[in-house]
Amino acid sequence: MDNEPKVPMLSVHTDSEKTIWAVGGGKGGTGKSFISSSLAIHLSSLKEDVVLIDADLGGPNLHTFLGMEESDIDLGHFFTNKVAKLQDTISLTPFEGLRLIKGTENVLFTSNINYYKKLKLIRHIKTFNAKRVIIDIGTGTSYNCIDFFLLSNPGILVVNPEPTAIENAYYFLKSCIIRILKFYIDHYGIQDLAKKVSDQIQDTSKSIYSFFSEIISHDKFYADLLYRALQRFNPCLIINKARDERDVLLGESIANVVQKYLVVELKFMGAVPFDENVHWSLKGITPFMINHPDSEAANAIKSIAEKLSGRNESKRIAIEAKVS
Amino acid sequence: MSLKKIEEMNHYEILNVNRSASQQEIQKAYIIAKAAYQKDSLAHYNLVSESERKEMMTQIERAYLILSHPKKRKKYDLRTFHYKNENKEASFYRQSTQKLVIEDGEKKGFWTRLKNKIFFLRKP
Repeated sequence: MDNEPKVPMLSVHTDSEKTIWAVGGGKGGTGKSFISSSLAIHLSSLKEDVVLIDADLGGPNLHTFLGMEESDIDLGHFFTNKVAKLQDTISLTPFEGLRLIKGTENVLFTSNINYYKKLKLIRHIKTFNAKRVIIDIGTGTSYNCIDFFLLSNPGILVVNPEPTAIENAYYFLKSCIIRILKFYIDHYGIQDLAKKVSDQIQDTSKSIYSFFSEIISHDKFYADLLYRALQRFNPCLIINKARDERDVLLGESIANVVQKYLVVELKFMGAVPFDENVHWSLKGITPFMINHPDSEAANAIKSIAEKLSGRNESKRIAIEAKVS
Repeated sequence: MSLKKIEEMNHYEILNVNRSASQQEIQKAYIIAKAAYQKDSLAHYNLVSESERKEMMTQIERAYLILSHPKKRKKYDLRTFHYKNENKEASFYRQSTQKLVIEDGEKKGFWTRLKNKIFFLRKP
């Protein structure tokens, strides 16, 4: 794929070794901010350098999950050019190694930022100095949400075991996939072919698979190019508020369906059990991971964080090396 | 993984396992796949049509029936992978059966032996 378009949002086109995780999922209330703040707290406790970005431009509250009061500086200062660099909006948190870029309270202005401001933010996120960045994305399938998700490697989808959350997660994933495909379709100049195929399947199927199975019949060469472009998008899945084993199996099942019908590999990272104490910790404005560090939910988050950061893998290699 | 229509996928791709998967892994993959496409499953909610779901369930059952049975699996592997890849040219005029694969194998063995003999004789 030498003749690839340089898509500004897609992390697959960056050479940086910085890890950017974006936590999204489409539906509100699934626990995106809880998961992103908890992952960040755990990784900082393992001496990692983490920057959390509250990119929920319409309703930021990540600082509350960290038990922080208001800070003097936030993303609004960056958007209004009061500070030149995104780096200058970073606040320290009570946790060593963890820093926060707080969302702005002037939500009317920031929830509708224009394309150029968004590109500027993405450029700064890619270049500022931090080993690990975790972006908490807002609700919905707006271009802002999708582009922050596509910036990450990987994007983390947080879903509750409920039809509404799953439905919205599928809308969200499909929007991401269509955005990627659109970049490539425009680049290869095959808009007519894509439109013809989309019109054909519009009333009969809702899956990306149908698009591909139809486009293969029309043009195998471009079908293959688009397919290969899509294989670079590898989001992860977390089931939050799991009540029993069936909800864990649901995570595996969703990954299976997505692979077949949305034609991307969705890695299921694990399920976080429902815990009433999440609610009480939030009410007390203290992080759950600090209040209940040995709970099942906290342990699940720790395990997911280590899996995502590759710590489990390096532990395994170290043990194997010792044994041999 | 290559771009394929679902009806063109082999049994391993349908169950989402490697060709070297153990019986335990196949059993686990079958449980996950079956759970995903059951009528009341949330996993396909508002994404997969009823006809697509039914077709997928049929494919999953068919795949499991073969892969969970070691003898049937071996025969399937021979027919699907070994036969296609290694004996395609030698037996292009025949329909695949295990017996013919063995015949071709013997035939290939004979020619190979003969060639080796000639090659060996020509050596200084």
